[in-house]
Amino acid sequence: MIFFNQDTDATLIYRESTGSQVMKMDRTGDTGSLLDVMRDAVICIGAPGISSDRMRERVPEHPWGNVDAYTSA
Amino acid sequence: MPFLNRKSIYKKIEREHDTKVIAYVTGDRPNAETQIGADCIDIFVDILDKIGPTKRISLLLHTNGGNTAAAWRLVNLIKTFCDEFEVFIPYKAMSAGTLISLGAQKIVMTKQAALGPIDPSLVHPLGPHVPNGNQLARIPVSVEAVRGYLDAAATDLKIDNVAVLGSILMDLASKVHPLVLGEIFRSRAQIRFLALKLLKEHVKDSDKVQAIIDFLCADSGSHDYTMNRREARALGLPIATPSEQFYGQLKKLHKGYSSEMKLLEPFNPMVMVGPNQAVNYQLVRGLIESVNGGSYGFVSEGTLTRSIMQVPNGPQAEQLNDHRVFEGWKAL
Repeated sequence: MIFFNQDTDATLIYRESTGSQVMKMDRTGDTGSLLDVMRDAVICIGAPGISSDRMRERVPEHPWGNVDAYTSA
Repeated sequence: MPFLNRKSIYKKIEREHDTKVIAYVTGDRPNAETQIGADCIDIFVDILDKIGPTKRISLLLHTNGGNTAAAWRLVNLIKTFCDEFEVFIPYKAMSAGTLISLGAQKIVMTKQAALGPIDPSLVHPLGPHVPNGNQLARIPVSVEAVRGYLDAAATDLKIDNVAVLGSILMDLASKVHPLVLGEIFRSRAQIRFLALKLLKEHVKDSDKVQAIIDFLCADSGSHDYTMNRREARALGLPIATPSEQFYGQLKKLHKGYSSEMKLLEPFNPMVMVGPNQAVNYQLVRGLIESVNGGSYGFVSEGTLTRSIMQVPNGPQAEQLNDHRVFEGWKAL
């Protein structure tokens, strides 16, 4: 069994979409590869509030951007 | 350790140091981190109103940082309620936490406490994004990294040809939007301005102030650099060492909020749900507390539920849903 952490592409795709939109969100156009990795898998669907994206990417809250001084642990 | 136990330690510290203690902890529990943000201001206003104008306020900080504007606003808010502002750091006050500490007349650091660089990053709507990631999310651009790139061309590679420097700038602008670059240089100027304003109130030697700002903004090399109290003192910051008894109190407090917020256990939904079909959870991800004002927590509450998902043309897959019902500050 494969366990996907919340910051994998698959869970990002699920976070942003309903099940029926999954195909469209896989922008490679090759949905087969996504379905392959989903087999025998446990997928965590969570709110974006809890995540540990390695790039620390985030949606800006203001048009002028967010200025943060933050150190990852 | 529950709040009531921590409260008795806060009371002792207040009595022994003739001060009012407010603790501000932004959680660094892996996968459930929180940051300094503007939403803390309302809680601080309530707590400070209960304390009222007083001689001294001591802010106990544990943070990896966060929004620089919120940090600046918080220091100014606290200072309007007291003549002397001091910071206690049991473990770490990184980045925006260090910026807050620059505004303190005294910074009490344990031997394991750490401060860090204050150079910010900018997350801008026109900033770069991960090619296969969330198309709305943007990668933070380090203000000093952009400066470092341009400095490397001029200083390290000794390129002095105006046309070549121009092409380097054009190349940078083709990868990072010019408006983002503009905001980056504004942010760089702003963080230096904020640090200068905070420091010059209590550090009179302007050369020392400039040296502190240069080190914390750029010369420390990378944003994850940590600075212990010996180095902070040598840099010119007003560092104080706690007595053995006071150290014991700070350590107990650190252990207390760490255990309540489970800072050493990564948040893992699979572990939390265990063998159950569904489980309700409450995560305390941030704390603001004081003797008079009680304890406020930044709380996430929800239910984790297992379900079965049918993959087209494939076997069934198990799925874990996180249904969040509350997220925000609440009195604990």
